[in-house]
Amino acid sequence: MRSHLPVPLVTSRRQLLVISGAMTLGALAGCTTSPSPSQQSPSGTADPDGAVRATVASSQTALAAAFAATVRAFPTLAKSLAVGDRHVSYAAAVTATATATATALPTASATDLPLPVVSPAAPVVPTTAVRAVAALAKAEQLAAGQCLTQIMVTVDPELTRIITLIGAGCASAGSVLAGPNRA
Amino acid sequence: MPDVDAALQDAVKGQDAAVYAYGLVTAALTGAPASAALTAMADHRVLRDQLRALLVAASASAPAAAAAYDPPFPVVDAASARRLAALVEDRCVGQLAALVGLLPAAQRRAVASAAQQGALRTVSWSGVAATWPGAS
Repeated sequence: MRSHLPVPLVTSRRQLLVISGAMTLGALAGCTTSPSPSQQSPSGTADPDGAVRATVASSQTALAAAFAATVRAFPTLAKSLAVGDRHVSYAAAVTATATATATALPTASATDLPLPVVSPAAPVVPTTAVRAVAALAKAEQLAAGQCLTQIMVTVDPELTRIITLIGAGCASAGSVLAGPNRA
Repeated sequence: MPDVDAALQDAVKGQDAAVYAYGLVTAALTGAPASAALTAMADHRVLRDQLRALLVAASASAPAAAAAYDPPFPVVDAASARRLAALVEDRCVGQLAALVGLLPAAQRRAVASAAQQGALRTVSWSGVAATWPGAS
């Protein structure tokens, strides 16, 4: 038997809505360096993923700030650091999942687990361009690893899917920043 | 709520398709890229078997691989081989990400790690790091 190659499309209508919402909310995320880890959804009901959602949004906002600070310090790197624009979208995407989640899922105790909190302090940019790019590459790889931890405690499958994709996006961005990687 | 067994079956089918695709890709490449394709094929085969084992453990039926698959475009040279490899990897990333949220916590990390590896391979074949992997 012959089948079509490769696998079926996976972009759902909900994903498209979340991503388009990310475009709208991106500017807001860029203005927030320390989102509150609220356990309440916008509708006022308990959000079992509130802590994870806040942590990921905060981490991604901090990454966006680090890229912005590096571009300010080394304007000639702007084009090669455009890969960092994704973090504003990522922060907004996880935030945008809150509304749909709160009304559909039961409350769980997973949010009680300790999760890393990103400091809202202004990013420190290394003194040379090479070191600055290397630091961003390392930060991307660290963020990718954190996503693997965060998906262990999420309840909402859609949020879990988005964080998994964010982890994949951070890993690939880190790869690009780290240097030649073409097979 | 999506069915975890159905998502697992889709992922197994995707991995089977990837293994087949890398056969086409490898045949069109030489040297280090061909070696990378063979490594990727082996990785997909291992992941397919792991996902299949999850289905068996859940007493669900595991889909059989097709004898052949139609690529979305002819693989006639290194460029088209790279394009197919990047496309297959990206679509597998999307499938795996959809699956992760349906799995129990203990099984999530391995699948999410595989998604990250797929995203890295997508970059290595295409040279492009898409903002949202898995959207192909």
